Amino acid sequence: MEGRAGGGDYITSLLSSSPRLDFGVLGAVPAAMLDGAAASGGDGGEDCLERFCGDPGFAERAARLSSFSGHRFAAAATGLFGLPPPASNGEFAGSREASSVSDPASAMRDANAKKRKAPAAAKGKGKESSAQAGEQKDPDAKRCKTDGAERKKEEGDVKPKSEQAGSDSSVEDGGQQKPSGKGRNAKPVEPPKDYVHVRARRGQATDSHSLAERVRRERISQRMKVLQDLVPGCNKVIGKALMLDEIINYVQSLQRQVEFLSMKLATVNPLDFSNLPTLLQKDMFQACGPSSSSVFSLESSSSGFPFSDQGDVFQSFVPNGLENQCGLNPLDLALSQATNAQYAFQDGTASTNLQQRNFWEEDLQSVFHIDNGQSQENGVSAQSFHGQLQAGHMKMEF
Amino acid sequence: MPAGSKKFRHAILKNLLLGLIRKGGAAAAASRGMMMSFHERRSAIRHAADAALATARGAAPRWSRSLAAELSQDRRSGRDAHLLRSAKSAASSSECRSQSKMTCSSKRIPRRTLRARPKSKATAKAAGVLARVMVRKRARALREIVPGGRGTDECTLLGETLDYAVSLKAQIEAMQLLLRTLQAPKNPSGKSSPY
Repeated sequence: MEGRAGGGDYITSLLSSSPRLDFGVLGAVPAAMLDGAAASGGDGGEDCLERFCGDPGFAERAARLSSFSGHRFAAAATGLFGLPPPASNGEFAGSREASSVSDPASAMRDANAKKRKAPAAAKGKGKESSAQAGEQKDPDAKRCKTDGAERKKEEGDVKPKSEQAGSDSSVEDGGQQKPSGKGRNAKPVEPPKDYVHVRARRGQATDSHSLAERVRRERISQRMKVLQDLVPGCNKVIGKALMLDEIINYVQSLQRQVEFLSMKLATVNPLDFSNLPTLLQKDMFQACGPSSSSVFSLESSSSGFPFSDQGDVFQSFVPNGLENQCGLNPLDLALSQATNAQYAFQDGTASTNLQQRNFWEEDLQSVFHIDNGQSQENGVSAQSFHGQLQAGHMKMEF
Repeated sequence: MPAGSKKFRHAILKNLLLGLIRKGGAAAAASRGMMMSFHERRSAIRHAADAALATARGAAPRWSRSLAAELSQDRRSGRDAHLLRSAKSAASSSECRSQSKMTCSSKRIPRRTLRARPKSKATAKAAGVLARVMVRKRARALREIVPGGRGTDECTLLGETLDYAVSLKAQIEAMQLLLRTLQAPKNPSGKSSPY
């Protein structure tokens, strides 16, 4: 977020410095690629976004959608991006000059805006790694005096196609206009190239306020796109309000599910807390893999859980004096095995099994049998109660 | 820990188990005996699940800090003290406390009517304004739902919602896993696996 805000401020400052040029805003998708690519400027909230945007399918779709940048640079400096870094310095300079020459001309020709891209996009090197993109943006950065916004455009340049800039830009704009559904009077046709970051669309104001607002809107639409992929059933809906409706419904349903599951967990066994370790011990009785040391390392690594008194808790808990080590060992086992969705009987560790089995057998089985008997009769009553509750819960909720 | 990873789910499960055991031990040690009320148990489990989620996610996203603050408000013991500390440093704690007070009392999910009455549908401008009003209403509703969404603008709100939704999904999966484990049929020999 902070990185993006910085980019927005930079844009406004740039605008004020050079009023003659047209300004436009890049589509949201290259920004998405920026998110995926750029490691900097990511706070915690961006992590998930980066993850989503970094996934190759998303990047591919993004590339397809916003391939507008292509033909802009076809005339000039085409080889910039495609060139390998070591051999590129001279080429960069030369091509940049060419692009600068052609840019104003094309800018004059086409009034519409297109986010300014590094001259590289034309080369169908869509598969350039983002690292390379970041690398090659540095010479551009010197010329364009941009940083965050620069990166945005740079990532947007990684497009496989170079010809369809005009049409694709129109497609991308149309696609962007649809989700916003607001009075975005942008025109679809984009100019081939410009060499300042943002360009106003035709018929739109170019002052800093609307520009920053446009940037913000792009961000929002980009996030809506990601949310659209996440929330099932959002693809058919078009429009911000309806999509927000779906998102709200989804989050509410997730929360209700958590409630329901916690209720189920409460009813599954009334002796939940007392049974928990013994149950798991019993299940994990046979297969004990990791030693207790690993358990403790896990405990310490589980960040932020103030569990310093675990030993006391456990001892007070299990009356027959089982040690914490052994108690937590099967717990950890239960964890690993449950997450593997299997209770593998590991015969490889038979020797340790035998030892531990001899250690456990009398105590544990006695405890377990007693608990089992109790839990079962309680479980029966709990089931009926649970059924009633379930119905009540359903009535309450729906 | 990022929200979409598999490790995240494991962390939630582990935290949940630890929390539950801890609660059980604390209850036994407090000499209150087992919790009699079903509602107490349920809310305890829910709190443990939320605490597990918040601690597994860390202090990075805003909702996580806010959720930890809410839980610490509920509980007298500072279970998520570390998260609360980071929340204080990172975000405005007073804001968190105020909104947590509000949200704790009304933890249930209110769903207001989001239907806007159109004043005039004649012009496109009116429609645009109407659309904006609808979006505003929905954004407000979303702010109520996502913890910590009160003080954020729309853009960050959407980002938080995204993260929160993914984390909730992971939490649900972890709880389902736990449920399946606990409800698995037990055989005395303990040899065969339930599934």
